[in-house]
Amino acid sequence: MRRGFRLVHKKRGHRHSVSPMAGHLGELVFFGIVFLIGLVWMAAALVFLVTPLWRANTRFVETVCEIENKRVVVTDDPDETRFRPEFLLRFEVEGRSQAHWGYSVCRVISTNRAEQEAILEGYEVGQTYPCWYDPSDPTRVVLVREFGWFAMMMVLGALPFVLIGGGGVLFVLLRFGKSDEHVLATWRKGNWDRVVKKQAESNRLPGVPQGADMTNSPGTTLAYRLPISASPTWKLVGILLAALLWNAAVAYFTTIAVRGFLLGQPDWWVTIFLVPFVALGIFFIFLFFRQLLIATGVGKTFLEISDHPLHPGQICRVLVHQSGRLRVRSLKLFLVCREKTQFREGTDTRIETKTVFSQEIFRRQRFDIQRGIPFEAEVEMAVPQGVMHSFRSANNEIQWLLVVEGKLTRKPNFQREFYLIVHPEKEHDESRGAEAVRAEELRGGE
Amino acid sequence: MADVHPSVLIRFDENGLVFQPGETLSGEYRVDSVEPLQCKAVELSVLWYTEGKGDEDMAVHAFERTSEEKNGPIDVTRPGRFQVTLPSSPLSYDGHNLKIRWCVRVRLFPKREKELVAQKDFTLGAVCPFGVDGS
Repeated sequence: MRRGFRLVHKKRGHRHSVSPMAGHLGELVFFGIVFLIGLVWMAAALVFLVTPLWRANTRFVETVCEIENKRVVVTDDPDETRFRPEFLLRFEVEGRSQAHWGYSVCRVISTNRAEQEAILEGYEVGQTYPCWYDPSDPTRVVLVREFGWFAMMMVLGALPFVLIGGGGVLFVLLRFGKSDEHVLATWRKGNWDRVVKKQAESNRLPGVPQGADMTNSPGTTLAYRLPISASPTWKLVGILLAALLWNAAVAYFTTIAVRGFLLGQPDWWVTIFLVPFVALGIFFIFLFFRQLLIATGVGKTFLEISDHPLHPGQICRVLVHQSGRLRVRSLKLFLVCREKTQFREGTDTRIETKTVFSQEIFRRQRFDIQRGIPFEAEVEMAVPQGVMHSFRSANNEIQWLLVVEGKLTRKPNFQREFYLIVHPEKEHDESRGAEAVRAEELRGGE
Repeated sequence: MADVHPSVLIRFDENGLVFQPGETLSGEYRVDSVEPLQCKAVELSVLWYTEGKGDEDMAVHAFERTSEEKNGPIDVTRPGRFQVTLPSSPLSYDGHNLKIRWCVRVRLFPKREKELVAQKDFTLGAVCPFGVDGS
């Protein structure tokens, strides 16, 4: 059987049905076109804008000219009429008098006639002004020499096309005709490996997050203070921004609807259409005030831990600290394992989390916390034997975390999360046997 | 009717499919073909990949490419051997939305026929699966 070029392959499971060769060619064509657009655009900007500007600023000869006439040149494009100012300049080149039309070397034209006429107004006929002419072609004469912001913007505008297109072409060519494994192995052996060599040497557990930021904060009672996964203040800022943006847009359309009512011409369809949007805006405001209460009224929660990173079967101590002036209905601490997956649906990237393990390790009910006297409790925690370690790749993650859940009277309930790193089981830990037995006892005692 | 298409068989030296981090995984691959198969290249990889709801991730732990250009004519009638020390992580995992699989994958690039791929999964480590109720 000869191996021919096939556009579409039989679909297997979740894999793509399009032939890899067709996919590579498609990518090559796409990035090639993007690259070419960028290249042509940049070349045009360099030839027609940057080079003339550079010549005018460095090579043109300065002299004095007399303005004999002035006009606005009108160009009738198919889409719209455009205008540019021009002056008839009389000047001398090596003792010979010459007169040529000119103003700026770029001859940038505008759709605004008034703007161009204002430029004409700035110069008087019969008066003398400094001007610059091209020594190799004295018909090219200018009254102004510019830095050329427009030219710079045109060059910079082309740059993303050149970089994305060129990078894409290079990426496709490097992968062309290679298996996925070959590409990944080459990548490992190539420069990238050198870049991350130091990191790779220190991380002998591939796929396990290092969690360096989790052990750089010492605790006051136990060894480490765990960082909170998302600060309540940042959550508050996020919700505030969302509420402001959403409600500003809704307010604009609501004003139009209300004006219709005031003028006696109500648009009922627009009004009905707006109702769910206004409701969502109110919900955002509710969320904001709820988060404001949590951020300002609940007080700080922090956790300290005796060992970190952990490993399956390990026993450690955890200190729960809660401040604020609170009437607590219940305060719980959970050890949680969560799968976090990221996937693309069309142009959207979605994230889904699934809690696969949750164990309550501490609970206290019905108590008050006074301002200035924070609540503290130290508990023993056992990571279950034989469980999966923390894992992170580009689209998939296994997270271990400690979750503090508080139910309060007259204040919103809250939940705060603190990440942990769990390493794979320790094979040569002498104390492992004793720890495992103690861990079993802890679990059995619940 | 018997299958006339060539296929690749992978066999581990140990009969089991469960290995521990640091252990050596060894075995061989063999091409089953009625007619002699001429190959441009053979690739052998030991890798992990993810399955489940998230987009697939993959990382190659060991990779070896034998090509006609670099190594001379490839004789696929003789079994190919492999031996690799397994890493400490990531361990095989069978979760709800995420699974981590380890495998040995052999990819053959015949001169005239279409690419042949075969893989044999194995388990790295002994992770206990979580219960459906999250216990």
